[in-house]
Amino acid sequence: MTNVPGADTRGPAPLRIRLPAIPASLAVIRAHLRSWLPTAAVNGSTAAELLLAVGEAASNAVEHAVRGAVGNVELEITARATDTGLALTVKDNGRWHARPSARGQRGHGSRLMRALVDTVTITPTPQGTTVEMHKELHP
Amino acid sequence: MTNSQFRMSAAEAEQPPVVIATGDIDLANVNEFQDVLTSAAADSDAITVDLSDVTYCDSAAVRALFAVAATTKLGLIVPATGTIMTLLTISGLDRVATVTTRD
Repeated sequence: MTNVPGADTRGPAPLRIRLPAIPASLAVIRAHLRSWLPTAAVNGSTAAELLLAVGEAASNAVEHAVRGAVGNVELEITARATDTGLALTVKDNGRWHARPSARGQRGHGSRLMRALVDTVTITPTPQGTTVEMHKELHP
Repeated sequence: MTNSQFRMSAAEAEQPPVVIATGDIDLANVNEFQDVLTSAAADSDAITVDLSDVTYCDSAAVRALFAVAATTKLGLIVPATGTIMTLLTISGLDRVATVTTRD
């Protein structure tokens, strides 16, 4: 087998999950993360913090989907190892975020996320919202 | 239908009712949690909610607890370490409820 440039054979395989933006998906996301995080050598309190940070972002997206009563909204969750830690993203394709005034709930959720991970970037676009988080593990 | 994930313990004399929650609480089951809190609070001016065995909860549970704290004296029993304490302090729930930690 040949070495792929940039591939780290010690690192975990990236995680990518796509699910409908409904409440029942939240437990599925946690189940995936609970089995993926140990493959990235993340356990215990750090794993619990990441579960909550991702859960909060996903929950916000689901709530907006339910309230917006828009069908076919999807969530995409990704997790991968970086040079210094973990990058986690929660993306939805709901379109009701175009008005910034509708994002009050995200204010509280993002404060919590910022307490749990090192960087949080929330990018609302007309096509949906992407929440990118980074947790430093090897500072 | 009984709900074993959220249940009220048998009332002890002179003590507020205790709601014991276990497992994961999220948007999918927070309404059941809220219902148990509401019925416990209906019979008493104070309730205690034991979150010691909760394996996951987020802002959805915090909102349910804030709602019951608006009308009832709320006591919380939480693990000494972990994300529940973070949730309580970030949300400010620790300022409207009496928090007891359990190792």
